[in-house]
Amino acid sequence: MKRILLFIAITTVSLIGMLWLSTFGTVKYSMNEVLLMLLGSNSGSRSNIYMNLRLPRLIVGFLIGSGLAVGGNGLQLTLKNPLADPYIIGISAGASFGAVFSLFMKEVGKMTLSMDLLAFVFAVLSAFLTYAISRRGGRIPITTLVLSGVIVSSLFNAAVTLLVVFAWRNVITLHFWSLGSLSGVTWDDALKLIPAISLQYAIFSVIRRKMLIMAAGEDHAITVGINPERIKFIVFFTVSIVSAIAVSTAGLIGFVGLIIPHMVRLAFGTDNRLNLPATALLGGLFLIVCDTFARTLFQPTELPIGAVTALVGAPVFIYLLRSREVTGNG
Amino acid sequence: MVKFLAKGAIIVKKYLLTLLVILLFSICLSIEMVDDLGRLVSIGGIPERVVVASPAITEYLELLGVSSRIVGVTDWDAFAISNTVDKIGNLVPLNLEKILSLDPDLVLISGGFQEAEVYKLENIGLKAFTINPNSFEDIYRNLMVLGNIFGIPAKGREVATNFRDGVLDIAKNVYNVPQSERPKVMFVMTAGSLSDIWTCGTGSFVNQAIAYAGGANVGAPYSGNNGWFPVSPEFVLNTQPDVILVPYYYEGGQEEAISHVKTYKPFSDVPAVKNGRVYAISDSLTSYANPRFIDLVRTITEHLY
Repeated sequence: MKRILLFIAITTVSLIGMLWLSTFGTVKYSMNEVLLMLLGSNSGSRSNIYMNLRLPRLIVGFLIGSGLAVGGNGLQLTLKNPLADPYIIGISAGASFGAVFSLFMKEVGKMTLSMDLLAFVFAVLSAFLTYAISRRGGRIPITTLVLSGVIVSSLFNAAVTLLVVFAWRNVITLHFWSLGSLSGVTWDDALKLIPAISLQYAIFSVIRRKMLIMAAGEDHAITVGINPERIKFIVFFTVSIVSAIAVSTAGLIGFVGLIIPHMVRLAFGTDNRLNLPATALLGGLFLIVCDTFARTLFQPTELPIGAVTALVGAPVFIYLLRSREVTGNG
Repeated sequence: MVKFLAKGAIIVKKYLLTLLVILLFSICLSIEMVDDLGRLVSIGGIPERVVVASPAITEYLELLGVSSRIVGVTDWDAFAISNTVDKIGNLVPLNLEKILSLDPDLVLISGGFQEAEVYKLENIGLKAFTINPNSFEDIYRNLMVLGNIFGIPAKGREVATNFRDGVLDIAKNVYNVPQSERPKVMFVMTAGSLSDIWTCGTGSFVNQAIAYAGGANVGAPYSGNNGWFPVSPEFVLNTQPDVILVPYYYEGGQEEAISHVKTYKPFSDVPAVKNGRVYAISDSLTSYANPRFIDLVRTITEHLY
């Protein structure tokens, strides 16, 4: 009961907070003005800026943040590894290779391939590659997983650099791709993200019990009749879809999937019905906060959002790596 | 007195009518131009509020005398130092909110790595025109293109012709120096250490400037993206340039840029270093292909002869 109240409180505060954060930026709004615009009042160019740039940016930021956080949560449970996250295990790097590869094929090979599809294919490939490299006698030690993720990431990042040099494209585009940005996202991007993220959320809700049992150990899961390989496959597959669309929309954004599930576990516990909705909510809120910093800190210049999330996420990562939860497990 | 006032009123009326006619004309006057991405852009009326989303383009507007129409430039634009205009931030990604809030009727933008931004501007309903010059000829042509856009085609032609004649006047002094007698020139751009050198080859405007100035660019047989390509220090030893040109990035940075090359041990036997012919050139001349190309050619030729 206490937790439900906490959840309701967090939801209310976040919704108001997100609207409040959306007032900051190059063009400043008052809370009143925002509410009036949301209710349909049109004040010319100012509301044009808000409705066509700021609001889609807010929503896309929320969707990507919650998608990555929920994905990280799923990976951490099924791999029984607190450091699993789409960025760290190389899924995002694979997706970014796929995205750049589609640009490359368009430019050099004169073939138009779907960016989202290619990003997805390589995201899945990198997920299973990391998995295959790090698996040791039926389990995945924490440090091995992180190291395999680093290897797979650098492999795909090197391949991206190679493509860029080969195609003679300018490196600055690549630089921005590799740190991510929510600048200039549109309503179309939001429409593309909604089905993928809802699908991931639905699948994880359905198989949540099985994932929790797997978190207690794969042997245990087999004795109660769960096929761990099938669950892992489903999780990798869905996380890859979401990461692929997130990367092709906003580039590489790390650490969201790592730190949010931990915070939620601390606040709500692992085995709780509120765990998943809270992860989605806080993940979205976290990315919106980071994006507000990216947008306002050095305005009118924009910071790459991946740099902001890494600045917050890396210390948390170090803390987790050294904390008892990990050392006891690895 | 009354008569005088009445006369004044008539003059004002006449003037008003002319003004109205001019205004009406400029609204109806819609022209279509092909930009450097090959897009057909229709310019409705003469632009009054222009955002220059790349510092490479500003010089063109200043030379054409329309820089007063600029309402926003990037953070890297020297124009913002001596003029009060809004800053719009970085070249990539563009701060679309800021640009939209300036309410421009035209956004001028480079191609290349800014190409993706062109379509973002269009998506939010802004008129974007790409100016992406990479050579002497591109500068000449873009001066006329911009002259047309700003409704001063005659001025555009005049400025462009003056520009071309100015460059060719300098080039005439050295055009008949035979290849074997031309000093071998290398442009050395480094990102910190000399182990990572970028130089210019065929396709870059600096290579053209060296040729017009009477030098023989050792990078000319090669090429890369827009003519630029990375080389190792071995390339310098192998080609033995007589003159090395280095860019400097702030006033007073000349000495540092030159000694950076001179003190690099492996280069001590390169003719340019041995004979003290390492020269610094302001990066404002070598970073953008703009009408200051003429100053670039003049500076190089002064160093060579």
